[in-house]
Amino acid sequence: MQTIKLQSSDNEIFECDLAVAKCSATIRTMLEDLGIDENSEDEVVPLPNVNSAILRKVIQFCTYHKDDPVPSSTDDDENKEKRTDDITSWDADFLKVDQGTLFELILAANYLDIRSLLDVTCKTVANMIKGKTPDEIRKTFNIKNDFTPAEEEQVRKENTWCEEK
Amino acid sequence: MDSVPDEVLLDIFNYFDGKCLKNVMLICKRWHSLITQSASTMRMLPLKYSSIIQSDEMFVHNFHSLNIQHISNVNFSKSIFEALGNTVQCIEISYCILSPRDLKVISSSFINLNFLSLTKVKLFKDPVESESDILTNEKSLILNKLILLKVDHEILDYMQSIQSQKIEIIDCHENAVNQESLINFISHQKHLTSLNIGEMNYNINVFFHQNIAEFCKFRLKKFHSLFCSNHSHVHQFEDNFISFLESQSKNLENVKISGRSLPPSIYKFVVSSLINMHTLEIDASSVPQENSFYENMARNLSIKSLIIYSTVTKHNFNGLKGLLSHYPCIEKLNLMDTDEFVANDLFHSIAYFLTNLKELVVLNFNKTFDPQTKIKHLEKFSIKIINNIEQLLKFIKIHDSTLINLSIWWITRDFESRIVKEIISLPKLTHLKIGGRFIANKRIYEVVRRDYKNLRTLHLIVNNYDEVKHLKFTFPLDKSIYTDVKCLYFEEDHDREPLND
Repeated sequence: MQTIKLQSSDNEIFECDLAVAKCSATIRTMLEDLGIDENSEDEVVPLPNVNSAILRKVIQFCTYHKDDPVPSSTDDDENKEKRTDDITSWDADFLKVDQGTLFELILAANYLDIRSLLDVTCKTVANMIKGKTPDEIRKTFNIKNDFTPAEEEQVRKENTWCEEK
Repeated sequence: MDSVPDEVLLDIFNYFDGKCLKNVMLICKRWHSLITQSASTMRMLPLKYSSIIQSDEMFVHNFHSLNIQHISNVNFSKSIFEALGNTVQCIEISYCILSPRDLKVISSSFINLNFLSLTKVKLFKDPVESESDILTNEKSLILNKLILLKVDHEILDYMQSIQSQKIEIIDCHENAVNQESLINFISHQKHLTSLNIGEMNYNINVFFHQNIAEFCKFRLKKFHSLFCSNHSHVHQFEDNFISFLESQSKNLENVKISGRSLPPSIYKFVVSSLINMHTLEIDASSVPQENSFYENMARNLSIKSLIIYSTVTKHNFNGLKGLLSHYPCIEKLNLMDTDEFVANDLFHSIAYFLTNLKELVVLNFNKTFDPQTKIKHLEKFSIKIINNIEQLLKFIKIHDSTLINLSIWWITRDFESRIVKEIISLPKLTHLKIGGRFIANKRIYEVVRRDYKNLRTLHLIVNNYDEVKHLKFTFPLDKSIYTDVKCLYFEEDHDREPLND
């Protein structure tokens, strides 16, 4: 089985299955376009934006999902209702992590361009937001409310025009 | 969260519906600007699947609609119409103050707009906003339907590029001002096929004081009007109104005319000269009552549907009888109630004159009515209120060889299982529709389920105080019971649907 070496931001080297690494569109592009030789034993792909703890998780995720069918990009999901309640139990278990790790996974998925990981992490965050009041959302994610009271009132007012009847 | 790039945040926001997005907008400035500036989330925000538009033939569900209420200054922002211009097909604005600019934005930016409804909308002209600030767009927008309910007619001056196939104008009393704007607007309509003017008191007089027939470019198929003026009309109105009808007489298919103080000449004209009508809605008391009027006139064979919305009494019975003899091809007749002196005569006349009648709708039977005459081809019968069940049973038994479809709008507790059994034993009856309180409906359902015989569909309208639910069953019974939800707030009830077994 062909393997590839990935180097995390803290210089740890991970050797993993090439098929697993290719779940990442970024790595795929690096290999294909930038002329990194897949067959070279010594070639190491540097991933300066991902630390070893996160890279380990990402490899774990991709190893589990490497045989998943590639979602067809033809059926335009623009108009499809997006669901957040279809996370598999393996994914849900995998994402039972602290918030910091969850966001690092999102950033890694975004950087490495792993659509399936990005989707499932975004869904998880969406689920954390849904059904909460603005105050609860701010508390959950430790976000500062930078509206002045007048501005907030204005936004609320604007909102009334899409109020349900 | 701060480190999450914008595109990822938007990915997350795209999982939300409009309601949730409204909360999310309030979190912080960054989130707010992301949501309000992104086309994908904007698309979600004000869009509401239009449950509000019911039953109009064009407007089944799932059209994107924009609903704006109670805003003193709408001021459409550029981002709204950039994001929504292509998708919105329906706009409803109520209790708002619009500027000329807003109106121009509506007519020039929502290029796929199909339906526009303005309710209690006022115009505000900003003195600083010069005419040149107003977007000008010569391209005209063709709507399916435009509804103006108590609006300031001056608004129409800024909607000249809007054309519509159907227009409904309802103004109660003195509310609407500036009839010139209205006349000007209507006379520019080229695609208008359906015009409904309801309750225009003062204005409609002015409307028809102008010789509107001369400058109308449209060809009306449907014209409904309700005059509620108490003013005495001058001749000029009368003449102009008749010349308007005359100019449209070739196209007019569906006409409703009513109003207490309308001159008799108008009714005479409608009855005798609109020869291509297939549907006429009229007050029996207003039509000519003399037999001679009908005798001297060729019969009109185009009318298929006649709707009478006045109580039939001995004072207007002659006029109604005249209509029935004049329109012998009527297939569908809607009646209100009948007074006791004419109940039997009326049914006799119906059976005598209307040999093609297939569908009859009545409000109720008078207690003096004794069903003896048979309407030969009666296939569909609807009654709204039952006074006497035995009388109803007698009526439907007389028609048992033709009756396919029966509707009873409201049943009471004494509607026993025995009656249901008798009804479903009618040899040809395949469709039954019954409305009433839940308890009564449940009993009907139980009986029909066990013993449906020829019946193929049962449509129950369960009426529980403020909620109405439509349940449709097909026999033999399968699991596909479906409810026809008319309003949003009925939906909550789905889970505890007691009839669903």
